[in-house]
Amino acid sequence: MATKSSDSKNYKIEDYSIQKEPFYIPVSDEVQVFESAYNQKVPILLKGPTGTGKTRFVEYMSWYISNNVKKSVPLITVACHEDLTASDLVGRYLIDSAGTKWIDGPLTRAVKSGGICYLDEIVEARKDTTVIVHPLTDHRRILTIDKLGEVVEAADGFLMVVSYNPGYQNALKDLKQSTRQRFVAIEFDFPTPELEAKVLKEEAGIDDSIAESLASLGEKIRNLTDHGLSEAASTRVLIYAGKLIKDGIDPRRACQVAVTWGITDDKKLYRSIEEVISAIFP
Amino acid sequence: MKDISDKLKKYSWINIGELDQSLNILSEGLNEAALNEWADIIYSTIEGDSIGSSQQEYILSFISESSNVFRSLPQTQFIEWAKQSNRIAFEDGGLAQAYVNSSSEVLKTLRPRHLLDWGNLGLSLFKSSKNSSPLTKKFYGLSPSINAASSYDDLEKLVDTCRRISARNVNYSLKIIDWVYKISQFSPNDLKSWNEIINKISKILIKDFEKIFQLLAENADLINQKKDFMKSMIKILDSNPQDFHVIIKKSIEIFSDISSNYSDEYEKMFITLSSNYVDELKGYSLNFQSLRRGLSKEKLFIWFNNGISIINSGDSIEGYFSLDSIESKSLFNELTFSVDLDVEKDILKLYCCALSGQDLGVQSSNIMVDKEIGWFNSNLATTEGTTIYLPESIKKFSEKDKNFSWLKVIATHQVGHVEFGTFKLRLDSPSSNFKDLRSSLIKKFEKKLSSNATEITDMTKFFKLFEDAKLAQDIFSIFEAYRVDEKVLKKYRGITNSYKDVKENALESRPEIESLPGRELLMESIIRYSLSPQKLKVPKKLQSSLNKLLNLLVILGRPNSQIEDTAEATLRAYKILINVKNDLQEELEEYTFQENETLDKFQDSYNDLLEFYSFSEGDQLENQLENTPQEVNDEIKMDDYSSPQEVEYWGEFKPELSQLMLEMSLGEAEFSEDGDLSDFSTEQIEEMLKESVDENTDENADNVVESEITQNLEEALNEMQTEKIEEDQSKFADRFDHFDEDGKELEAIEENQFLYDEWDFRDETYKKNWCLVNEKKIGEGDLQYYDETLEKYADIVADIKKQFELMNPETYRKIKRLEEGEEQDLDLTVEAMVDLRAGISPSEKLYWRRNKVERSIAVAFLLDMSASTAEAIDDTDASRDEWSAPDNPEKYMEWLRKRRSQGFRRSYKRIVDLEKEGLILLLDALENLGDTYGIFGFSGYGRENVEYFTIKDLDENFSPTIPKRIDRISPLHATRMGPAVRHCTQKLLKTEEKSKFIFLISDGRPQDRGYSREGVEKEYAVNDTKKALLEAKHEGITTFCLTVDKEGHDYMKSMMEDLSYEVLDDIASLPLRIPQLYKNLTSN
Repeated sequence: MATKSSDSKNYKIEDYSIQKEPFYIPVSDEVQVFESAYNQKVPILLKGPTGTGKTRFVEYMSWYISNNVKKSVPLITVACHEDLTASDLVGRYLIDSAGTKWIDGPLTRAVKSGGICYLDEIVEARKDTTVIVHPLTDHRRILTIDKLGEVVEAADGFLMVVSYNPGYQNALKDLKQSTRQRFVAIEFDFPTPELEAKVLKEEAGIDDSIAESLASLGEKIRNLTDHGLSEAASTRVLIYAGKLIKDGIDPRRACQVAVTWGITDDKKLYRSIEEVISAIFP
Repeated sequence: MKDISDKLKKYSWINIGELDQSLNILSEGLNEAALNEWADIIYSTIEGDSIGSSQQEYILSFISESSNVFRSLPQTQFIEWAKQSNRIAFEDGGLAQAYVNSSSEVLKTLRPRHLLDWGNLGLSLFKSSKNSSPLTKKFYGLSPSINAASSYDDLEKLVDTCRRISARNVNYSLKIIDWVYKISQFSPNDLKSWNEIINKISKILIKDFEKIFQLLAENADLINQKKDFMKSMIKILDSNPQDFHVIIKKSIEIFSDISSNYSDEYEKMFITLSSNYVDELKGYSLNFQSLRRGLSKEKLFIWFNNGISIINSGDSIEGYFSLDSIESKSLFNELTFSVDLDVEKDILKLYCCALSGQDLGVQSSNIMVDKEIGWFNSNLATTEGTTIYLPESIKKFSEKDKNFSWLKVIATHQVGHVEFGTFKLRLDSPSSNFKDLRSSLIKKFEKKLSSNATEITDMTKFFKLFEDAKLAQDIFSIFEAYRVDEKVLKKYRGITNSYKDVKENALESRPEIESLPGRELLMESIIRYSLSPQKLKVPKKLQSSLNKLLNLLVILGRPNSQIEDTAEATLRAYKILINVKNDLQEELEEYTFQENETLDKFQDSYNDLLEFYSFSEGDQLENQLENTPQEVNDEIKMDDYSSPQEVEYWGEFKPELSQLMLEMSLGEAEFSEDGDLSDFSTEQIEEMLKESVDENTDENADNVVESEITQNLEEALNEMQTEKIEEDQSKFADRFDHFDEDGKELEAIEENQFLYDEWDFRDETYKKNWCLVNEKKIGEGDLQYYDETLEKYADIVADIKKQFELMNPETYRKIKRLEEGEEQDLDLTVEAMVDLRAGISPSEKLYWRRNKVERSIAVAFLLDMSASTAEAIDDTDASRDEWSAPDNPEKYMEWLRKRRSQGFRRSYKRIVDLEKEGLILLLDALENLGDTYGIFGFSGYGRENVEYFTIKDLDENFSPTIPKRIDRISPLHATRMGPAVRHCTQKLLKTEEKSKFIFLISDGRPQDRGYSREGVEKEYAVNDTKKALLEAKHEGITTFCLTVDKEGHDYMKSMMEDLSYEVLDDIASLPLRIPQLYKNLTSN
């Protein structure tokens, strides 16, 4: 089904599914919870700071479920942004030589094909878009396409998954209660240093000692969130640092470009983190 | 009179009217003769063959001005004046006219007796050079103004200057007079100084006059602001005129360099130097900029004062201030190379927090020493588990990097104590590498001493096991330092190199091992080995002991070792060491440590150990009574033992005190069944510690044994505990005496009174109209406090402003789907066209617009103004300079006593002041942001008198009165939070903003008379406040509570439940935290 052009592969949205097992280490029972929710058609809300593995977890679960039901379950990911409108999700008319033609949006395709629809960073989207997911996320499981005058009933395998990053003490960007109470929530947080070291080792392909040092760096930097650091260093940036180290960049330099410069502009914090890095990496 | 008039009338150009008028006035005071004399002057001028126009002009002015001048002069002087004008007219008519015209004006300030001199001054100026007529005219013309600003002397000086300059260039003199006139107009007070300066320059530096004058004239405004500097300029002219131009040029450059904020310092030093050491000024001003780049303000003063003190001591200081002398250079280098805690504090704090995962503070060791609670050396690092204390300045090495590395290493070592749990020693938790002795020993020990056991912490209990506590502590310190170092090195590989350097450095300063007696020799060997595994020199008979000791040490280096292992190892090492005689050793042999003894071997001796300790403790008393010869010998030896020389980077290690303080601060230490230590405030404990220290130090400051301090403290605590319980009971009866208020509802009578219900959590109902809130306007203070605060935090204010400004751009965004706007949106238009063709009615909203989305925020700051906010806090910044302790123990004690007596008179800062500072910092930024905000304070006494002060109402605009009101915020009565929050909610609900916030700043739990049920339940107040906050939440208001109450965690948790709050541990950071939190709370 995939068409190949030069080096990259193109898929139709509903044809894309995860074929190879993504690397994921369960922290607790999230896999079981997800599976049950999938079976029971209960939508899922993934909560947690950036870079804690929410997206990876969805990929993993999509693969896991495909594996279980012996049928590929499409994974349709939509990254939400502040200009994302309802028709971006549902679909729109386009002009072609023969007149106009209706094109289904990613959400409609997921609903029709019975895939997992993953709306990443749902709070970023315009408020009107969050409303169209409402009828899909309760017992009705329907999508109304007003421009076509149609109602689509979701196919069996359809599951709505959204992710959400609760901002630190921020009252303006929050999920509405009416929205959030339609989901079961799975909370993500940074893994323990031991677990994180494992992840780093696997993802970046680095040896144990560097992985441990990086994990320890992550832990130390996260200690600073109470001291003015708005977002802690995610596992993702640590992986980047690991990859750079693997490729021969000096560890201190790698951490500087991948971790420090990314997470803060504050000079004081900046220097403090540098000092921590230089304490951990020779 | 008639004659005169008739005689003059024939001259057609004379104005008859004026003439008659003047004559009328003059004739009233002048006799006939005098009047004729006056007229003669006119005749003598006009009766010549031909009369020039300038002479005519003069006569006209003379006639009309005479009456004016006459009014202010006696008759004879008037005639003299008239004659002089004639003399001048003989030289130059125009000149005479100028003289006459200015005369009456100049007489307003010039004494009549100087009038003729003044005229002569002009004449002398006129005669000083060719073409000086315009100059002299100008002089006469401007004299009145110049004289008004100074005195006749200055006119003389000015003329003196001008005559000299005119000899070279008349036009330049003109400029000078103009300039002096300008000064007299705009800055009259400076005229005298300026006049003197240019006069001196014209005398001494006539060659360079133009150049210098140009410079001064251009920068006069700048220099005018610096009066003392001007005085200094005169001094330079007197003593070192040759340097004048260079010095002033450089100084002006420094003053006008806006980017540097050092000009005040420069000026201060400049003036000091100019008063006595003018020779150094040139070098100083030329080198100032490089000094400034290299040194902080504080250090600049150190460097400067050092120079002054050299001068005062009578030594030659040639070249000091120009950075030429060796002494000056080396101090400068030292100052630039040294690393100051002040500068690095913030970075290190974050570093320590990151490493430990705890909210550690970083402070100067001085502060710990000043507390006088058992720490003595301000040059060493230390910690009590919550704060890392570091030396104020590191200047061990001549390179900045090395000094910083050193600082980092000692900080890391101290953090290591915290991170790796030094102060978490528990007697009952197992060690990882030893068969545990402690718990069984303690049990035995406690049984024996149970009657008066007063130990609070496990650490103290632990050291009670040893007869020679000093030895035990020394062993423990070395072992623990080693354990922490090994852990640090394993975990933080990046710091290894710095660590190695530091260790090597420490090794270099170790004492000669040869001269040490047995026990000390062994201790020294352990230290050396722990710094770096190496070959050691020991007498043969001690080799096996040392091998055992080092084996213990090495075990502590294992990755799994804990503080409990250190304790176990100490128990074992103590037994070995106490049995080594502390006498001088003869032959030392080279020895290499072999890690061959297995752990089992120590376990074999487990029973021996058990017995050893039971014996020494249990029979201690009896032994002393018996006094067998053997025992006496031992005791003498014990006294002989002195602790090994400290290892500098390990810092000052006080395990017992630290554990005590740490546990108290965590409220963990259990005291007795009746209560716990958290009943005592940290201040109380510190006060008690001070007393304990004093008791010990009075005898011998050099020999303070930590356990004695703790011992004393414990006894004191015990006493206080009992007292406190009694006191508490009486306090309850007194303060919270509950008089049932019959449940009567209150009534609001006046306009500014509001009624609110109160929540009774036991009955789960509201008490109707229970509280009466009186809304009041607060009075106005002055602006000084506001200005001072802004100045104090100037850099931070700018920073906050910047951060707040960054919030703004987020509010600009493109708004799409509008019926009208800047431009059509292509996507939407295409979509509409598609819809049209598909037969669907298209959307009409095709436009977009870049719009400023209003930040629609209203926030009310609610300030606790209860009496408890009057509580003083440590202002650590204050007067640190006076806090340097002498090294000599005797002097030290004297100094200590002096300090303590002074301590009570020190001015202090209160919590409420910090609340105010925080608000002031925020005000400016808030104004920029444009949020609607109000500031309110609350206090009161009883339910019928809840005071609600408006400092700034929500709809009020900012005006200078607001800071004035802030100035008046002060501690009042009690804290009835509930009604205040309710009233605040009501106020906010009236605003139209979309997001509403209440920002509550408090210093403790809510409490008030009758704010309880049955008088004693603290929960009542907490629950009512909670209810009030929840009510606000239901109205869509976001609440946030910031408290500085250290014990706040417990009740805040129940009060705020899922509402946001923060307990601020470091009260001093309150002013900075408020803006930060505000930003977090309201930004996207």
